Amino acid sequence: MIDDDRGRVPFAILGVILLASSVGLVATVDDRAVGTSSPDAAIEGATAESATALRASVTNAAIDAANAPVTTPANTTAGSALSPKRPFRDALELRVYLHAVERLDRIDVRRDGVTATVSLPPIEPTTDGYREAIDRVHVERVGDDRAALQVTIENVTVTATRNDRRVGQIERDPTFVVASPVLLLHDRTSEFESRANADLSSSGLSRRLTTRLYPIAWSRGIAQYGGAPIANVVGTRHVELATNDALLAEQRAVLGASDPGGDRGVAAAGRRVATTDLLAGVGGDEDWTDLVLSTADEIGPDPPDRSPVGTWRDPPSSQDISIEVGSSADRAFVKVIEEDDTDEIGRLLERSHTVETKVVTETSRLFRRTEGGGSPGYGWRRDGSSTSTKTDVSSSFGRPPRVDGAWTVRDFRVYTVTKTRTTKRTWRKENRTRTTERTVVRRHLVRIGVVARTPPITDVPSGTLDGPLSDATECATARSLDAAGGWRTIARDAITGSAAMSKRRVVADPRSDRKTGIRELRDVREHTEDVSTEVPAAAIGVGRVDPGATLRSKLSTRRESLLRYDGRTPQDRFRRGVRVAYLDALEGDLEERSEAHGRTTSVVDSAVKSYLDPARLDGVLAAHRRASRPEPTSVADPAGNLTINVKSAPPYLPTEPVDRERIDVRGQGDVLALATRNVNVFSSPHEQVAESIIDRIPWLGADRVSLATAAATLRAAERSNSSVDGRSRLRNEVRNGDAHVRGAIVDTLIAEGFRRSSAEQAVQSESKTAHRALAVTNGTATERILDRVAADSNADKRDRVRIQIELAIENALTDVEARPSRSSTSRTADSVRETARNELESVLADELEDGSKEARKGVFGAQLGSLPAGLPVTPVPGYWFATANVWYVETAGYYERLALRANRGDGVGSITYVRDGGQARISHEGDRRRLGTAERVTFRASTVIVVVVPPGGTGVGDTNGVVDERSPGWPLEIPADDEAHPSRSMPNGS
Amino acid sequence: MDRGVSTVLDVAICLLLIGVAVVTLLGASAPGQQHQIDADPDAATLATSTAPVSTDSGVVHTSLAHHLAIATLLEVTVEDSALFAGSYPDAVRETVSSNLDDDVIVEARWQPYPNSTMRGRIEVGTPPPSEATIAATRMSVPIGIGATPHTSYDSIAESLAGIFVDRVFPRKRTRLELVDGRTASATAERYRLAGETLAVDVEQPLSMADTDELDRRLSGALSDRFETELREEFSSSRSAREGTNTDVTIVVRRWQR
Repeated sequence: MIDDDRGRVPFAILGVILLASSVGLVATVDDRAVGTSSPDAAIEGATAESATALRASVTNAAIDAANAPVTTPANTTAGSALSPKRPFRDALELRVYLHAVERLDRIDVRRDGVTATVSLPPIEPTTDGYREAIDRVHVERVGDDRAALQVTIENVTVTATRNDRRVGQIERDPTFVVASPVLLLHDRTSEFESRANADLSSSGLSRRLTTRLYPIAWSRGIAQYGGAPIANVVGTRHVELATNDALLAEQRAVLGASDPGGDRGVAAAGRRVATTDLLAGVGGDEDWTDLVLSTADEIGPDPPDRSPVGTWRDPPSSQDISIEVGSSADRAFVKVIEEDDTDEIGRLLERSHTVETKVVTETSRLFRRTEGGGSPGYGWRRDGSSTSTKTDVSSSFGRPPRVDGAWTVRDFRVYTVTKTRTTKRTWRKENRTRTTERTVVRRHLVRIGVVARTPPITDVPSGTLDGPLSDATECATARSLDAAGGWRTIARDAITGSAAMSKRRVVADPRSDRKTGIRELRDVREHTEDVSTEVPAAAIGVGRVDPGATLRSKLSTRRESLLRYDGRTPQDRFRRGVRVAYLDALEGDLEERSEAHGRTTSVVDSAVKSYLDPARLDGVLAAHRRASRPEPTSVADPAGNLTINVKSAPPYLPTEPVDRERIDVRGQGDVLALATRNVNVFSSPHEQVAESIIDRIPWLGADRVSLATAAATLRAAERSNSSVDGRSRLRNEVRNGDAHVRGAIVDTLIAEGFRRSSAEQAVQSESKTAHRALAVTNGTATERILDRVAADSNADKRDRVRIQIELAIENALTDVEARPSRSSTSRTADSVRETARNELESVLADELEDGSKEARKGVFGAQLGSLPAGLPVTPVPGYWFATANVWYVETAGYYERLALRANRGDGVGSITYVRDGGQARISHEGDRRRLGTAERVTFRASTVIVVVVPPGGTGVGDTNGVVDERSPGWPLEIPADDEAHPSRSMPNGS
Repeated sequence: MDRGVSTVLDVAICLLLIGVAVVTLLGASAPGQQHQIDADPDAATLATSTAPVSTDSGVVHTSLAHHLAIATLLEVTVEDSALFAGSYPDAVRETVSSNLDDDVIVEARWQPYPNSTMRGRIEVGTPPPSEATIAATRMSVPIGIGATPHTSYDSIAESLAGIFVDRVFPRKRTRLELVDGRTASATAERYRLAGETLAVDVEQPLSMADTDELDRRLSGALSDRFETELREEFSSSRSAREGTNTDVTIVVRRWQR
C-alpha cells in the first residue's frame, strides 16, 4: 500500500492551488484598474488627435500654397531655403511644417494622470532652419489619376508625462493622403505655361495658333483673290482671335477646362471676323476691342453650344491646290506643230513612210594554196618579175549573210570567188638565166544580201516592209543593188573589202498626211492638258513639293496609253511618233518648270529663314491639318470626380489696352496683355523680296515690273478720287507696254495669214489703259481678238491661232518694252495707300456708324483691295500656276491673373490656384516673411502662314502698305510682379 | 477501501475549491465592467476616420473631427442669429452620425471666450437617458495660428475678430469668387447674411468686389462687440488674454443604462 501511495497528489491540493491563484489574479486586476496607470492611453489619444491636426495642417497649407504659389523664390531668409528647381513644392512643404508645428503644439491629452503632448522639432527662423523643415516633409502626387496629395512628416514625437516626469515617448513619420489637388493644379499650370511657350517643333500654342490662323488667312486670301475688298489679309485682330482661341484650346487640353468668358470673347470676335469684318484697319482697333468685349457681354454668361463663327473651326473646303499640265501642253503642242526648220510632223510623216536599204556582205576564206618555188639556189640574183591576177566568180549555195535585228534581208546570193595570183621571176647567175613561176590561189565564200528596214523613230517599233511599203522596198532594193554594181561585182569587191554599202532610201507614197498628225497631236494634248496633281497648297507655297516633277511622274505612268498606237504600219508609226514627240516636248517643258520652281523655292526659303527655321515648316504643315477642340479628360481622387474651373483675367486677351476694372483685376489703369506682330513677306510684287526672284530670271530686268502688276496698280490709282503721284507717268508706261504686246499679236496674225488691216482692227480696244493692259495679261483679250479675226475659221485653225496669240503674248510680256519701270509703279502704289488713308480719315470724320461703313468699304475696297500682292510661284510667264504669300506671325502675352479652382475645399471655399504676380508669404513666430512670387503666366508663339491662290488676278497679300504690322503692345512688356498688393496667406482654419 | 473513500473525498474537495475560485474571479470582474465605459475609442475614430462631405463649393475630404470643427465655425450665431447659411453643417451631422454607435453623443462647440454672445455648437448622436452612466473624452481642434500676444482689450478683440473673419471669408478667394460669374451670387449672399447679422453695410464694397473692405467692416463690427464683452467678462486684459480660445472643443460621450 505504502508503495502504492507514493507520488500521488490529492485533487484537493490542486483545488487549493487554483483558488489561491484566482484570488491573486483578482487582486492584480483590481490593482491595475485603480492603481498607478501606464502612459499608453494618453499616447494613443494624442496620436489620434494628431491625425486630425496634421490633416487640417495639410489642407490649409495646400490652400495657402495654391493661393500664392511660389514660382520664383525671393531673395529672403525664407525664400533662400527654397530650391530654385522646385520652389512650389518646397514652399508647400514649408507651409505644411509650419502649420503642423503650431497645431500639434496645442494637443494636450490627459488620461488617468498622464499628459501626452505632440511636437515636431522647432524651426529656427533662418535659411538653414527652414531648409530643415522642408527636408522633414515630403509631398507627392498619388492615386490612379495622381490627383491626390500624399504627405509624410518626419519626427512627429508624442511624449507622455506624469507629474512632470516623462513616462513614455514615441516618434513616428506618419504618411497620409489628403484629397487636395494642389500639386495637380500646379503641375498642369506649369505644363500649360511650357506649352504656351513651345515652338512649332512640339505641340502647344504655336501649333494651335497655326491651325487657327490658316483657315482665317485662307478664306480671306481667297476672298481677296475673288475680288472681295480686302486690303489686309492677316491683320492684328485675326492674330488676336486665333491666339485667344488657341489659348482656350490649350486650357482645355492641359488645364482640363477653359474660361467660359474667353469662349464668349472668341465667339464674339469670330462672329465679327466672319460677318462684318471684311476690311482692314477700319475704325481703329480700339473700336474692334469694344465690339468684341461688348458682344461677349451680349452673348451672356452661357457660352454658345456651337460657335457661330464657322469660318475657322471648319477648314476651308480645299486646302489642296490642283496643278495642271495646262499651258505646258500648249507649249509642247506648238513645239511639235511648228513648220520651221525642225518641222517635226513633216519629218515624222516622211520617216514613217521611208524604206532604207543597203548591201551587206559576209566573206569567209575557203583555202589558200601556193605552187612553185622561190630562188633557184645559191648565187642566183633576181633580175626581174611580173605578176598577173585572175578572179573567177561562180555561184554557190548557202544562207544569207547575218544582219542586225532591225534589218531584214530582201534578196541574197552566195558566190565562191577564186583569186589566182601568178608571179614570174627572172634569175641570173653570171651569164646564166633562169625563170621561176609561183602561183597563189585564194578562194573565198561570199554571201551577199540586200537588206532593208524602216528608219528608227524614237520609242516607235520598227515598221513592216510589206503591205504599203512593199513597192518602195523593192524599188530601194533594186537601187541599192544597181548602185553597188550588181551581184558579181559586189562579190568581187567583197574579198578586197571594197564592196559599197550603197545605202538607198525610198519614200513611199504617204498613206497618211499632216492633218492626221495634227489630229493626233490635238488628241494627245487634250488628254494631257487636264492631267493634274493635287498637292497641299501650303506645301507648294513653301516649296516643299515640286509640281513639275509630280506631273512628270504622273505622265510617265500613263505614257503607254497616251501613245495609244503600237502597230507597225506606216500610219500607226506616224501617229505614235507624233505622240512621242509631243510627250517628249512636254516632259522637257515640265523639267523647265521644275527648275523655275526650284528658284522660287529658294527665295521663299531665304525669305522665311529670316523669321523661322525652314525645317520647322514641316511642323507648320502638319499642324495645319489638325484643328481640333480637345475634350478634357476626367480625373478622380479619393473624394470622387475632380472638376476644375479656369478663370483668367482678361478672359479674352485684346491687343488694345483694357481697363483693369473691366476685367476684374485689382488696381488702377490699363492692362495690355497681348501683343502681336505679323509680317507680310511678299506684300506686293514690287517690294524687296519679290525683287530677288525677278533677279534670278535673267531676262527680266530688276528695275522693271510685270505689265500685270503695273496695270493693277494703275487701276487702283485710277479709282482714287484724289490725285495720285506718278499716275500719268505710270499710265504712259502701261500704255506703251500694252501697245508693244498688241503689236506682237498683230505680227503673229499676219504670219498666220491674216491681212494686216483686219489684224490691226482685231486688237483695238476702247477700254481704259489699265483695263486694256490687264485684259492682255489675263487672257481675256485673246478670246476677244480671236472672235474678231477667226470667227469664220474652223476649229483647228481657231485653236492654232489661239495658241499662237497666247505664245506671242507670253513672249512679248517678257520683253523690256512691255515691262513698266519699278520706280513709277512703286511710287504710285505708295501714293494710293497714302490717299486712301487720308480719304478714310475724312470719311470717318464726316460720317458716323452705318453711313461710314459703306464709305469705308468704298475707299478701301476699291483701292487697296485691288492693289496686287503676293509671290507668283514660278513667275516665268506660262509656268505661273499659283500666287503664294507668306505671313510670319508672332504673338506674346500674359494673363494678368490665371486662376484654377477645383471642387475640393475647406468648407468655406474651394482650393484656388492663382498666378497673378502676387507675393507669397508665411507667418512664423509672429512675423510675415516673404517666400517668393507667383509669377504671371506668360506665353509666346510664332508661326508662318502660307496662303496660295490661283494664278492671275491681283494675287494675295496685304495691300494696305503695312508690311510689318504690330499691335500697340508690341514688343510685349510684362509688368513687374505685384508688390503693391501682397497676397495674404490664409490664417489657419480648423 | 480506504483508498476508495479518500479519492472520492479528494475529488469532492477539489471541485468545491474550483467552484470558490470561479466565484472569486467572477466577483472580481463583474463590477469592473461598469468602470470600463470608455469614450476614448470613439474619440479616436472621430480623429482618424476620414470621409468626403459635399458642400456648395466642392467636396471636403478630411477627418470627422475636422469636419465637426469646420461645421461648428459655420454654425456660429451672434445673439442667436446665424452668420452663415449653407448645407455643409447638416451634411457633416449626417456623415458623423452614420459613423457613431447608438450610445454615443458628440458635441462640438466654439466660443472665443466664456459667455460670448458669439458661439457655435453642433451636436450629433443620441442624448443619454438621465439615469445612464457616462464616459467622456474631450479633444480640441485649433482654428488659428500665429495669434501674437496682445496686451489690451481692443487688440485682443481685434485679433480674435481678424482671425475669425479671415478664416470664414478668405479675402483673396472670395474676391476671385465675386468676379467669377459662376460663383459671384453665392458668395455675395454669404457676405450679405453675415452683414445683416452684424449690422454692417456690405453692398458698396460688394459691388466693387472689394473684399479687403468687406472683411475690414465685418471684423470691425465683431471687434467692437468682442471688446465690450471682454471688458465685462474679465477684470484685466491679462486675464482676458488667458481666457480667450481659438480652439473648437469636441466632447465625445458614451453612455450606458
